[in-house]
Amino acid sequence: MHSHSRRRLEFEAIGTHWQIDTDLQLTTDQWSAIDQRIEEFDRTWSRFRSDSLVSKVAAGPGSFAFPPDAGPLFAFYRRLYELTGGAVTPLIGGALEHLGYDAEYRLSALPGRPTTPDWDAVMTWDGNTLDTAGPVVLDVGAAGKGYLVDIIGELLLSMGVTTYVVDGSGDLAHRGPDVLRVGMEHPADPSKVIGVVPLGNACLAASAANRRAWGSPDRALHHIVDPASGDPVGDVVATWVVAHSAMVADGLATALFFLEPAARGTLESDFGARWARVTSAGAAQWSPQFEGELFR
Amino acid sequence: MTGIQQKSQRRQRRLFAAIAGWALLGAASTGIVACTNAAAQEATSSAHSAATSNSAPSSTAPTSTSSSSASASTSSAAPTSSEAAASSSTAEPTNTAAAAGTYADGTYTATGSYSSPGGTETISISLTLSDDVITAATAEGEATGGPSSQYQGEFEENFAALIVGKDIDDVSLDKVAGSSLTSGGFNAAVETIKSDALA
Repeated sequence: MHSHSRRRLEFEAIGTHWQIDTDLQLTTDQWSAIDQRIEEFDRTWSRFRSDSLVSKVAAGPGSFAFPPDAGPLFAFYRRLYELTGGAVTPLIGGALEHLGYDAEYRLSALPGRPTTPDWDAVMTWDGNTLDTAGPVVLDVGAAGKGYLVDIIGELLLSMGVTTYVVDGSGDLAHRGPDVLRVGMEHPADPSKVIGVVPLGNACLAASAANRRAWGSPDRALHHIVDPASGDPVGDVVATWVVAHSAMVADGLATALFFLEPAARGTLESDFGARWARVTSAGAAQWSPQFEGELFR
Repeated sequence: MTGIQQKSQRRQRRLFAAIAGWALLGAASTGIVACTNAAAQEATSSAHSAATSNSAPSSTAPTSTSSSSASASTSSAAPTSSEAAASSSTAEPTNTAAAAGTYADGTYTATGSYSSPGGTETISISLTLSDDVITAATAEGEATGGPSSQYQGEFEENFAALIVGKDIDDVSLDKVAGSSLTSGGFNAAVETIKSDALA
């Protein structure tokens, strides 16, 4: 780390902890602009608040005008959807609610298996407007937080801040001359790390199945659900992705829970993303260009 | 990693390795060929020449060291059958073009080693020949970490059978990234459920 002073802001937003470090002191107005931007995002995308746009969509059908920043997120979700054969989908919200991850945090599964509708069967996105054929529960948890990290980074840049770390609790955007050493949290033991990733002028996302978890020993549940089976995924327990954008890193960190080798092989070439993941057997796989060092 | 786990992973990587085989053969400029088919021992002058590739990125070409240090019997080599160890007949690869009918059918395994800033690395390559045509090619990198594993990794995923954790306090870090830290509602709900369960 550089010796120059850093300014840090910590806060809770969209259900998680945030830390923003900048080299320049931001004014109160600048901080409140960031705060407002996050609130705007939350008001669009949070399925945990009744006044959000996606809550209105859930009460559909209808035609819903989204704010301009929805375009890149929908477009990226469509890529993820195709990359994963439908496994990563914004329509997973219904399954998450069924399993208990709902606005009331019921955290107990309803009887039966949740089903997830096909994208093209229930909604169309034209770049501005979402048309739905029925009530659909959108959940952008796979890439939304990363996207918000990108948005905050852009906002900081527009304020003339060129050295920063935006840390949305697992989704990181770094810009500046120094290189961060980011520990890869052990999926079974948060007091340990299994490796270190250097991060300089890049973004990193981590995803793991252990923390947002609930259920019982008989049926352990967590927030990464396979729409085909309606069950949380089991073979992979943690993933890390380094990419040029936090949205891409975040989304691919979720996709890596599902991808077969051939598809994993396209992440570096098609998305410029380097990655690592840990299986439930405690093995690690990582892509050719992955910058990190894994302890062995 | 244990041999068994390694093997299991190798099976998973066959597809990748087969695709990567051509490129890797171009990059691995040293090698010893051990033939797993006894009948083909006389023909161990290698299929290397048949596998020249213009697709090998120059940055990945390992520095060639003495091929005598590369032995098919090294623990990291992956003979495709137990015969490989027995048929220790080896030969330097040549770059002459293969004439028709030169090679006996069979699976050939070559292990090359090279030194790198990260230490000595090996690459193991298997080719299956049928009527002088390569019908299958696989490549296994055995890099132990550092830059070399990246170079080798251009052809395949890297794999470690068992991750090792170090205490966070023992590693110099600026950040830790893992499962998203949650806050507020989710954690409160979990606590409520736990206390309900105890009641």
